[in-house]
Amino acid sequence: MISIITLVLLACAGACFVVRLALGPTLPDRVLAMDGLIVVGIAAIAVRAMQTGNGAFLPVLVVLTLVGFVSTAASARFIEWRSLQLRRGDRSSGDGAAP
Amino acid sequence: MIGEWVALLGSVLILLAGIGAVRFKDTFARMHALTKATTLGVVLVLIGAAIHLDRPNDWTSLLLAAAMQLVTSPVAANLLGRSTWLLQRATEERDGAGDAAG
Repeated sequence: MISIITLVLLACAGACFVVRLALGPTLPDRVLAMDGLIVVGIAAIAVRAMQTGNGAFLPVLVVLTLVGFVSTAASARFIEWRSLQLRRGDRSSGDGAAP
Repeated sequence: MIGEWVALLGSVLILLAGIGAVRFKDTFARMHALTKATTLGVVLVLIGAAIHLDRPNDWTSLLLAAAMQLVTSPVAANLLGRSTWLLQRATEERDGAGDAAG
């Protein structure tokens, strides 16, 4: 019974993250929402293993944690590269306009 | 029984992180709400599962996942916060240049 309540709360949290993923104004908001969805998946797998007493899916948790970190880091590097490209584009246009 | 209650507490924290991610106005405020509450919540859920399950083979997986989460979550938040700040600066500069040119 308590596990079912836990799963329902996790589903509500996942719905909140999906809302933020859909209407996030910028790209970092969407990356953040994806990170939250991965965390909801990790917690749901752990609760399900607790509910059934079968720990066969627990190594998936480690893999999901690593995948979540690597995807967030790669997205952060991509956003950083894009912002640098944005500034460099402005600066090159400014240099082109200065002389 | 205790493990189920601990997992329920962790899922309440994850739900609070979701509500904060929906309701907060700023990107950094959302990041603040999501990172800390999510880390503590998922570690509590894993601790609850480790209390409830009784095989060492399961404990090692849960311990490794919790340690990974505790180690990698601040690093990911730091990277994302830095890139968000750089993107906001670049967008402000571009808009300011557009206003000056226009």
